[in-house]
Amino acid sequence: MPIKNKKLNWLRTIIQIAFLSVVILVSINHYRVSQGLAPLLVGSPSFHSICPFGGVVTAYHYFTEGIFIRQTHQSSFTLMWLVLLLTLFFGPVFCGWVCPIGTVQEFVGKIGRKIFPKKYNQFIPKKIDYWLRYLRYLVLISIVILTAQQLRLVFQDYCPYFNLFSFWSSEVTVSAVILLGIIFVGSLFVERPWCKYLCPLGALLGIFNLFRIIPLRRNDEICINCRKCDRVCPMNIKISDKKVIRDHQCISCLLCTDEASCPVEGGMEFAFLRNNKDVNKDINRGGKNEN
Amino acid sequence: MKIRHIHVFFAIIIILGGGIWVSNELGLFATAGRGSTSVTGSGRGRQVYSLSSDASIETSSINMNSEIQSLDKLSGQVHDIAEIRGSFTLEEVEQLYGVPPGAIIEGFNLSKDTNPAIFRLNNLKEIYHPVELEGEIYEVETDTVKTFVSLYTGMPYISEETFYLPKHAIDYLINRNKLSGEEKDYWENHTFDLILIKSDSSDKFNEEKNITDYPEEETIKIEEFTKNTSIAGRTTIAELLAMGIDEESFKKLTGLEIPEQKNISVRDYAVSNGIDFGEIRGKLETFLITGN
Repeated sequence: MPIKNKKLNWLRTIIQIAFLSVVILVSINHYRVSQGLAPLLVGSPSFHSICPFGGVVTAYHYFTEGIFIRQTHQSSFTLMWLVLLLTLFFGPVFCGWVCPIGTVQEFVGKIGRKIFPKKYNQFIPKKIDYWLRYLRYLVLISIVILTAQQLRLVFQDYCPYFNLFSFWSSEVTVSAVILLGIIFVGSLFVERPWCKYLCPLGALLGIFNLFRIIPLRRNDEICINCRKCDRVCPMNIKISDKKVIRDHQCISCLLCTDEASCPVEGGMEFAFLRNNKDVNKDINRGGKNEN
Repeated sequence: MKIRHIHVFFAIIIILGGGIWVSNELGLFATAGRGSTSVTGSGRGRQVYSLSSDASIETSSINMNSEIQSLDKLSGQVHDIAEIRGSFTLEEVEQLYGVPPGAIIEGFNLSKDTNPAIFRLNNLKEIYHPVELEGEIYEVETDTVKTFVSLYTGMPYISEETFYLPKHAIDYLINRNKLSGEEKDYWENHTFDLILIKSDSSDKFNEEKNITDYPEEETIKIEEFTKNTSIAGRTTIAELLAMGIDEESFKKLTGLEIPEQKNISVRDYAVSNGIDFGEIRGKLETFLITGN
């Protein structure tokens, strides 16, 4: 069976940098508009209007009252549906490829990986880590209920996305600064701490992993048990003992696949309507495993 | 079928990018609020704003003044009142929405010396006490200004929390014919009086006074001091007497005679006699409240 060298996951990096750049530009434009200057390229929409989570928190009010709660708009509602559609097919690629807070944590995490090359992302005891990962569902439920009750964005004062990119304005709260500090420092020890333990949008999208149309599949017939997939997974999912990855924490970063880290072609892939027999047939035909 | 990184790459671009483009073409990607400021008045009298029947007021039909239109040329978009932030200064509100600082200063009964470049909307909370109306606590804050700006400009804004406005603000809007008959009927019956938290709480926003082009400011009248017990730096001796302090009590409390020139401010008079204004203010306010 063909053994491949590790490839760069550069397509994901391009998307991550592109979306992060857009959000940074919006932040710059907000500042420019506040100074009476014209915004550049992308206008100055509010951060809430370009966040799909705004659609999630206003959904209840929209369906019951027909209007969006303050500071949320049609755009965030539409974005929510687009992200859910994307997630239904590919899993939470929004988290792994698009979300600017995920990207920032990942970049900070690269520093942490250099400081703690072996221990990085392994600091938290597994039992505690296991239960902490359900905290984000509690956060999601609390925010949705409180928003429905109070008809305002109760999460705004803590939202790392809103506060990070509004850092220059006086709207940034002390609680948000503290939380951002915890996230950044935490990212030096744990990969994507916000995504793992607290992100309410990640919690919602993570549920789609249970029934997503295109799952990640591991071919245990050709797997050489090198466990590289386990080591590269930013979310610490134990991939090497599963055939189909339906873990609620998967962010579809595809780092575990044979395109990025799995050394065996067809050993770990993102596949649709394809089983191990099909993969093996392809490999026996000469390693061409594309349909 | 094996899905490669490149497939996911294009799926994101097509679904998110294409989805945004299509929904934008279909009018389903508004990044600003839409609605009407028409007054409907529910049974409880709390539902002030509602979506218009077609829920799709075109921004081009909104009656905006020339300042906003010129700003739109600059930024290429109509500014949504919902996006007014507490961090906005009065100057920024003027730049983005065309509401002169003087309108807000008078409508919210701020000090005539308020500096529009310094005063931020969230400072209102520091100046005025919350009031309880219909069992709910109302703060004079950013949403109050948003509603005021909406009524002033005619730009749409749906407020979920402002169903009462300061009486000063409504009087100001009525005097300038900013309210339609229906709106006037509603708002005249949904007002409250502004209550200062601390007499000099707005003074800190007066520094670096730089009044240039705010003609409406000239019409500002200071009148609320006859209605409460707060004494500000600008409170005059005449106003103090009108509040209920007699000459004898004034002398007892301050050690000073009432001056002949009663239009002088209490602060200036105290300072000119070598007395700290802060010292006597407390005594005078206590006297107004307790009579001692």
